[in-house]
Amino acid sequence: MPSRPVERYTGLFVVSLILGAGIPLRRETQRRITGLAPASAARAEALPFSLVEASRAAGLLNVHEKLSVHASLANVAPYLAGLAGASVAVADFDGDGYQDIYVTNAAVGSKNRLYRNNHDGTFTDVAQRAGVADVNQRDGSLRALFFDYDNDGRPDLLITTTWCPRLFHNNGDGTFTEAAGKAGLDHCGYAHAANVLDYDGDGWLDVLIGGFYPEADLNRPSTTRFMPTRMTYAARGGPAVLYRNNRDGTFSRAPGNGGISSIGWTHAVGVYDLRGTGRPDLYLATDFNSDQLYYNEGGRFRDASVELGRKYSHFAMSAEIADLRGGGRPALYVTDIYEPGHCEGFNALWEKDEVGRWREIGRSAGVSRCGWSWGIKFVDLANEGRLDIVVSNGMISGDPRKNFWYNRELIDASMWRLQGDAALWPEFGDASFAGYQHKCVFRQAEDGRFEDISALTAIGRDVSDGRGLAVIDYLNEGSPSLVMAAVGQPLRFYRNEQRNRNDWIGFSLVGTRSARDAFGALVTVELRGGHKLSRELEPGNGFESESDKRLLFGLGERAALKSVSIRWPSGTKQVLASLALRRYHTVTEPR
Amino acid sequence: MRRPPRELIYPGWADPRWLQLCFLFSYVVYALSSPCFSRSPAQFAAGAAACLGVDAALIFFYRGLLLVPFSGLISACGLLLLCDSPDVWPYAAIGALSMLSKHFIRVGGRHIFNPTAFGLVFGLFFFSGEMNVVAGRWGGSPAGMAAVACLGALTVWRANRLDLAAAYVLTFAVGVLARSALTGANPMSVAGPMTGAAFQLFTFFMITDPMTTPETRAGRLVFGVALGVLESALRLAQISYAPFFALFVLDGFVPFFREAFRPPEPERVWRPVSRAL
Repeated sequence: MPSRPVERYTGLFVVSLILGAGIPLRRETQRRITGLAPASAARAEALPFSLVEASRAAGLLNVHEKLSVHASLANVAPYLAGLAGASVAVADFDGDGYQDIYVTNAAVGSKNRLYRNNHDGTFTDVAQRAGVADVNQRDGSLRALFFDYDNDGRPDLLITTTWCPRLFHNNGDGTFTEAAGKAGLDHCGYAHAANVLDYDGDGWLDVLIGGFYPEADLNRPSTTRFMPTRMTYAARGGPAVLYRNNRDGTFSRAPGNGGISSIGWTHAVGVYDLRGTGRPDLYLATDFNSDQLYYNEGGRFRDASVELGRKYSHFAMSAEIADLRGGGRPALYVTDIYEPGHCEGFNALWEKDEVGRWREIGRSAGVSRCGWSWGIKFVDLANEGRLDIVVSNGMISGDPRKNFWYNRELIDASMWRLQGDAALWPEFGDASFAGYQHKCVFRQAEDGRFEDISALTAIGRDVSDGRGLAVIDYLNEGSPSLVMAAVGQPLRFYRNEQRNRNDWIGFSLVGTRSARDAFGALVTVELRGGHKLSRELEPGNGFESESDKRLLFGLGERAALKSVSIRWPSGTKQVLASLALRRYHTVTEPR
Repeated sequence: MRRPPRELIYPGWADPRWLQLCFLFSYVVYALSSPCFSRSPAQFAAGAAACLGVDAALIFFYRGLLLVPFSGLISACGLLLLCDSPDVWPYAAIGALSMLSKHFIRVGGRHIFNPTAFGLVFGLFFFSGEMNVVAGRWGGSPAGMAAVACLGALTVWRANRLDLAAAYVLTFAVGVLARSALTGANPMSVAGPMTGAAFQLFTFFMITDPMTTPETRAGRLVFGVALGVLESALRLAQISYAPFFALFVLDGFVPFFREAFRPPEPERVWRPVSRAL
């Protein structure tokens, strides 16, 4: 049937209509989703806490120095540098009762910082004197982790790097000495995921280091073919290696790697007793592939990833685990990439139902979208007895007029031989790539639902490229502050000022039969009226961060404590009563 | 003339869409079973129900025919493979929109937009926070790419659209060289999409839609070249989803193509080969 002359323009009319309405709408959608909701000053004032950016006042002045790579990788250098290396670890390294902060830089030749707490709200960098500043001469630091590997009561320091891990023994006099021969931590390869756990229950902390690239030394590459061969099901990356503590200050590889058959590309290692067995299980947050869930069957891990079904994240950045609802069942939060119009990943919040099956509820709970999410912490910001969620995000904030997403999609569309070769990736230049993103704060209400209060907080207005995010009560006043490292940008310190009269109680745990750090201990606080709160001590969860090693419980107003019970990693159970509120209690495991 | 409503019309075996459907459906099975894709049967069911339901209902309403909506099923397969969303509803919404465009945006009694491309472009603009189009869930092995390309070539040959596909691919290749020369980018990375399965699917299963492409060889060659040029221009401006936007815009010119490249004999116009039950 021939068309009438006017009909010929139908298609052009439709195209014009859709482009005319669609292009502005697409821009508006992206602005609305990546931007902040309008916030009133009154609502911000009404919050029972306030996060105040105080890095300068506190003397935390590190400006992160990005990872440097070999000249042959110049086309992808910004991407490689953007992935990692801005780590923050909290510990009382000098045993003065106040938490200190260690911050890494990733550029070769840069120096790391050890900020000693001055007890007056300020910090002083003592890294040089402590012997842990000048550690990036050959390889850049990626992830720092304090733990007491020799049970001498002093936190030692593990640093993973772009090549070999380094272990520093705490001498007890404010200085560290590097352990000879890396103390047996012999696998070299780019790794920014690591955590510690007593997987075999022998009372000594073991180490799991999760590799990323397959055997690639970014400063001395023997090949440029180390990039993921696919964006969602990449061939194997660097291995995750489990080291068993030999109880003599050294480590050796766990037999059969403890049953862990990692696919690499690990961004973070989540540790938690997910089944109430008293043994630490594992969640490997994995990029370019499906995540891995391992259950501890008594010193050997079993891959249980299938329990999370098909929904598990393809671009996971980190995992945090806690009893989010106070019902004794763990919740697992996994960060991922969401960029409107480009990537439809979502932060998954997994909870176990009554019959023990995992259910993903992140989207219905309203906590699934937070841009390109990295670090995550569950923290009770207002001591209300409910854990809130804070997420750091943002990949690379470059020239906002240039967008790398097109090139990322170009790579995504290519066959694996092209994807896997860094030399064939497009020039990154100074483009932005999911940059300038607002950090997220999801506040848990009494009914268990979450409200996005990002716009009401200073950290929510922060658009730096946040990575490691740690919790610290730096004045021992029961107020969890936040410290966030950002790639190529200044360290952020958000002092938490409480605007409430909520009670709190904190615990510093000392293991005896268990490892001295007591990682994995479960503390349950019961209030009069039967309400229970439980927290497991796993400070190393999250992306490139380690938080305050004390357990802090917000209790709400006029709380009446009934009892406190502790399940130590050794299996020992301890019940405490008549404890004073608004202070930390040091509890030693009964022998 | 209307057929009696009780008469069920289904495609005859000579209809080249059987081949197309077989290949696409095998890809759907792969997508649903592969961990590379995060697709669920519910998403496919939603897209298929929307495509089939809207297509069949509108055919019945306007033409009084009980027709097996083959085209709707093909669109549903394409939709599942290309649309990426963690939710189910975008598949239903885009499927329905695709079929609505097929029935309501018509010139000379024929639709002008490739339904799936129309639905995806609409989704990219109006649901951009909820979905996007993915190219990289296929694994990217050379053998897989070759298989998809061979099967695709066979399909378009049966549909008499191999010339269009070849014109588009050649123009794209010239565009790669031009863009590489203009930007200084590595030609291998610029040519990357040509090596991926999404490019093959786009080339062999989307742009070669017989209903929305010219009937004459000259028209098809011009259409293929124009599409390649337009896509290359969009890619030069680093616009995401350039192939889909290019096809969408070019489909707006389909009435002009039909006028300019009218076949000499009306019976040469491509029609589905259907049989009455």
